Amino acid sequence: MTAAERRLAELDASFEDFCRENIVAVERFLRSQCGDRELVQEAVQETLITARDKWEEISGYEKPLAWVYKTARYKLMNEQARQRREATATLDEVPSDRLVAPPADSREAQEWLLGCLRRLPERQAAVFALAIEGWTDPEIARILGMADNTVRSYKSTVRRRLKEFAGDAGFGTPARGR
Amino acid sequence: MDLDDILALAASHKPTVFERASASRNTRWVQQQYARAKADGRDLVGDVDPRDPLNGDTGEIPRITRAAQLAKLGTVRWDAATNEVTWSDEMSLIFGRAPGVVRPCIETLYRLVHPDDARRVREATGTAWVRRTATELTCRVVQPGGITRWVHCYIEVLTGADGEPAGLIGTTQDVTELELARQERERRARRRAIVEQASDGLGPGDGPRDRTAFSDEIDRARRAGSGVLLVIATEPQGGTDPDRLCALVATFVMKLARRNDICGLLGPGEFGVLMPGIGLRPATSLAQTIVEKLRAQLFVAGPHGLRLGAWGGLVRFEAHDESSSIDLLIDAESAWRHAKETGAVLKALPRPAPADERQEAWRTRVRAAVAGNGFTLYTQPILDLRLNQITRQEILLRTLNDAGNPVPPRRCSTSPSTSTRRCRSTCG
Repeated sequence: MTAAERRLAELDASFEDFCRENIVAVERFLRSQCGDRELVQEAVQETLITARDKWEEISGYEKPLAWVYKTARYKLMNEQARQRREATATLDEVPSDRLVAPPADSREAQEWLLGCLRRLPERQAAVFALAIEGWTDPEIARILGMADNTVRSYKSTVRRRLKEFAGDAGFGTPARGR
Repeated sequence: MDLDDILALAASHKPTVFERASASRNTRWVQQQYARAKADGRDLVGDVDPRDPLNGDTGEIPRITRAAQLAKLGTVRWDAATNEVTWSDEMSLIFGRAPGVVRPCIETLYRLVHPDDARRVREATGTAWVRRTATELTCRVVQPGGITRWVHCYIEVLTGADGEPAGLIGTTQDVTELELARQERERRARRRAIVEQASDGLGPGDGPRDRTAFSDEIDRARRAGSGVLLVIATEPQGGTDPDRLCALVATFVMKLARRNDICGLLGPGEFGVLMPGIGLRPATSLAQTIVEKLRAQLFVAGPHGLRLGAWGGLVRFEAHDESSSIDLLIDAESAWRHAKETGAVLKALPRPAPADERQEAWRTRVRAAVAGNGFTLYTQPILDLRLNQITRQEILLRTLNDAGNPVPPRRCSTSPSTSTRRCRSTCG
């Protein structure tokens, strides 16, 4: 095996590890802004194909996931714009997500959260989706291309709205024993 | 359980076996697609920004303008220190001007905004600046020639090197198509509400079905077996309280019908009786009784008693006939009209009319209605907001009943557009 082949195999291996580790998170990030799973999957796959092409460079970044999030968001926005151009007349209001009982497990809690975020403006949803994953405010501002002040402002707005949603769903009170 | 509990629960989620398997599968798929794209010589990077977002140029203004460029959005910026306004080439295009043609300044900016929205834009930017908070709004801009475009604008507060607010930046997107689609949805919803309102009072829960529900019952009966559909028309339809009269007659018909028969209010003065599992002869006999008793009855729905003229049309159907519920209703309605025109009480059809005969009968009716001014037209101007002018008129058609009054859409068909289409197809 030549040095170039070895390097290619290493890149393939590290890219596959990255993908397996993060693909669900990238999909979840986009699902916080878009309810169309097919569109989300398409944007994720397109992003990762591009990421693979630039993996030699991107893998050297301190946090390659930041680049993937940023690019995936643009891919999704482009896909959404294309879809709107093709089907503007048939676009319907997205039905609001409802939950009749408090989430019973972590998966239900995630789905409830994603459903609520999709009821908010996309930029606000994107900020909060990154914030709950532990990204700092300056990192979020850089990934999403917005002002630092906006990230702080959106985070508090989203938190307020989520509390309203939880209250509307009837489980806005603290759990016992906390 | 409160919001923090839910967030903590959501954060504790670990990928399931299914999610891990799916991630592996998708990873393989991405690798395959990448190999295929490379083999095809596809450009995989395109206009994607390959730079690390967390490193390099971290200034707010270049970051936001770069993000807007990538998303093909416009930006407009106000510098608090100099009171200067600048905007991007993309923004110029949103304003309908070639880049560099108009010198940006605050006065020009507000002149380009639609006069009805200018105050709202001033208030939004003022509030964002005073409260130091991001905001967003949708407003109109006026392009040369008076063309109006809708734009959505995210307004953000810029922070200077000293940590103090230094200005505002707006990222804007032309959302005219989306806005027009939204307005169209609203218009359709309003139309639906009007049609629903027109049907109010028809078909209460336990009483007679409305036309749509009655059609469903006919389809159900057709699937189950044979039977007879009777449609009865009464006149006059008005009076001082037409809805009350309608309800009285419907109750009267229901009392005369058999216990298992299904009754419907099909329109003003028009009633349906669906008689499953009955032959044409006994059904005709029952229909005769109903119509004669209707004629003999004195109805009081207002200050005076009222006697009605009544006619019936029957059509027998077999299980799995090709005719739909709408076809059967048309046949029975044609039959009562024939009875009325010939001075008979009833007309009974042993089977549904052949499709071409039915179509011809409708064509004849439409021709007669046209000749006798039996239609009335409503026009509704359609304003194309992109051109800021009325580019077409939507023409709505309504039929007139024998008293010369327009029949609300739902009562003559399932929707106004259906009514229009039917007229077009039969006239055509």
